[in-house]
Amino acid sequence: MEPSAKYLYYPGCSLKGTGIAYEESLLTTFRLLELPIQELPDWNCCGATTYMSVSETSASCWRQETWHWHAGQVPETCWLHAMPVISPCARARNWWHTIRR
Amino acid sequence: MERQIRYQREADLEWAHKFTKHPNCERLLLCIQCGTCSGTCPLSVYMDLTPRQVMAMVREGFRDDVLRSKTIWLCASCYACSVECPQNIKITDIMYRLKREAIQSNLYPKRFPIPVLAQEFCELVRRRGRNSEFWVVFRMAFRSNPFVLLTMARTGWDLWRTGRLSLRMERIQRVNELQYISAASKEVD
Repeated sequence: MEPSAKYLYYPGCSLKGTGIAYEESLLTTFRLLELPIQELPDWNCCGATTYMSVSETSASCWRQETWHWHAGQVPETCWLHAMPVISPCARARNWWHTIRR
Repeated sequence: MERQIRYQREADLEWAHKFTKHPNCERLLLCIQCGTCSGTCPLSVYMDLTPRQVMAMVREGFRDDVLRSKTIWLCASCYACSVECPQNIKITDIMYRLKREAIQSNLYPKRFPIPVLAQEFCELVRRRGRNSEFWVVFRMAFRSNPFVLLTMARTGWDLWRTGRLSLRMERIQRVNELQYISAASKEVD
């Protein structure tokens, strides 16, 4: 993955499943606007609202995980820190916002 | 006929006291029972207890009644109640805590699909790192009521036809790392 993209894309599980129409239209919009966008490599599920009902600690750990694994532990991906994240799923966006604040 | 009213001696005030010590649950004691939460809740018409009743019952310590209710599972986490509450009670977070306690103490309604879905979802993500919608629904239906799959067949077919249903099991590469974290966070819980 090259740091050529301007935006990081965190789809969330629903945009790979029943929400695939949304993903298609979003990526097409970005292409037409000529904004380079790249999917976060090897992202994990944010747990949505379901995970909170089973375990709060691991829910928040997982959300941190997908972020810090890229941004902190792997030096060559440090530039990810500076990139804006696009997260079209409402729930995933909420978590991203909480983590980065 | 089952007795509908509850007596004070059945209440567990100690549990209620402990409950309000948890983060985001402190303001529960400030509830004025105005009913704004029940009024804004888009799902309250389907609930056996309204959110306002849940608040009152938690505060008074009627633990088993609250944890057995379907209300906490019907909460869709839309946060409308938390936004509208004049006392700024974080009702959605209280619901989350009640859900966790219901699962831990095994009091959740066993054949009700939502708690089953939550557990199956977590199991799948814990093992594979991502959620595959088809398999979560399949396993949920299998554990709660397999016949519901028949009523969903038509919807499933339509989703499949339009490419919105994938049978593929999603999986991430660093799933070991995620399992390590899950194990570590279990100790904290």
